[in-house]
Amino acid sequence: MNHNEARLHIGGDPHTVPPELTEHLAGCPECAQFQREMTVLDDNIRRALEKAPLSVAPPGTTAATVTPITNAPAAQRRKRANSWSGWALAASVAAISMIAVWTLRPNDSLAHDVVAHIQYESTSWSSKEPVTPAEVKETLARAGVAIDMDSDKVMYAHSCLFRGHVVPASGRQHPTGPGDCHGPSSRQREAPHELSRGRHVWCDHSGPTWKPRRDHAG
Amino acid sequence: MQVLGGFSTAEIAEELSLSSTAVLTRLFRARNKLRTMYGLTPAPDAPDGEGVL
Repeated sequence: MNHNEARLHIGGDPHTVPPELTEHLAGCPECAQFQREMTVLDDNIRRALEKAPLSVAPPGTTAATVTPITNAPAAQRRKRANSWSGWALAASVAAISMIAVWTLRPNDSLAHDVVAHIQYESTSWSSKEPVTPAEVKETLARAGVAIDMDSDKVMYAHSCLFRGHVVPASGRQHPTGPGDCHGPSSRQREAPHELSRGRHVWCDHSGPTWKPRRDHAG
Repeated sequence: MQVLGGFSTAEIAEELSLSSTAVLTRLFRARNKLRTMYGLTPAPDAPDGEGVL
């Protein structure tokens, strides 16, 4: 056995030492050293493969997949865990911030919201033509209320989406000036709010008939 | 096959339809790559021409 043949055999199968290789190793310190190194390496390979999850191909095929064992997976898992922790922390901070902004947001009073709302209903005070009772009735019906039409003449009738509710808004002319009347739900009702151009009043309703309170309308 | 299965070079050669020299060459090169990965000096490459011997 020559030098190359010995190297090939040692590298290919370190643990099998045929007689001709033994003879060569006796006279070749380099190949003997190489054989010792490869034997140690082969033992390490065997230990590593025995610990590694091994996926053997189905019968009839010869391919097999071996997942190598290294120190990397643990470090990668730690790194991945740290990455997830960072995202979780960021998401928590974002959620807490959103809750804080929502909780601490400016919460205007109902009266303020009404005043701001009717600024967009400028015709409610300037209209001089009465609307028909049918139109008033239809407007109020959208909010689930009715009105006694024997009271003031309604010059303006409109359905508004206010604080998430469909609210009937009506404009009236009184001897003391124009007035707005919104019919909010009982939960939203507050004290009447006086405007610079007139008076604004919440209209009470009880039962199926909804009637403006003239005492508040001035 | 060799390390875990305990197959001999001849058995591997028969299973893979290769010559014994080709099997030894491939195993030699695989171990040589591992030697390099371990930081050891790789041995001179196996002779070219699998199946020559």
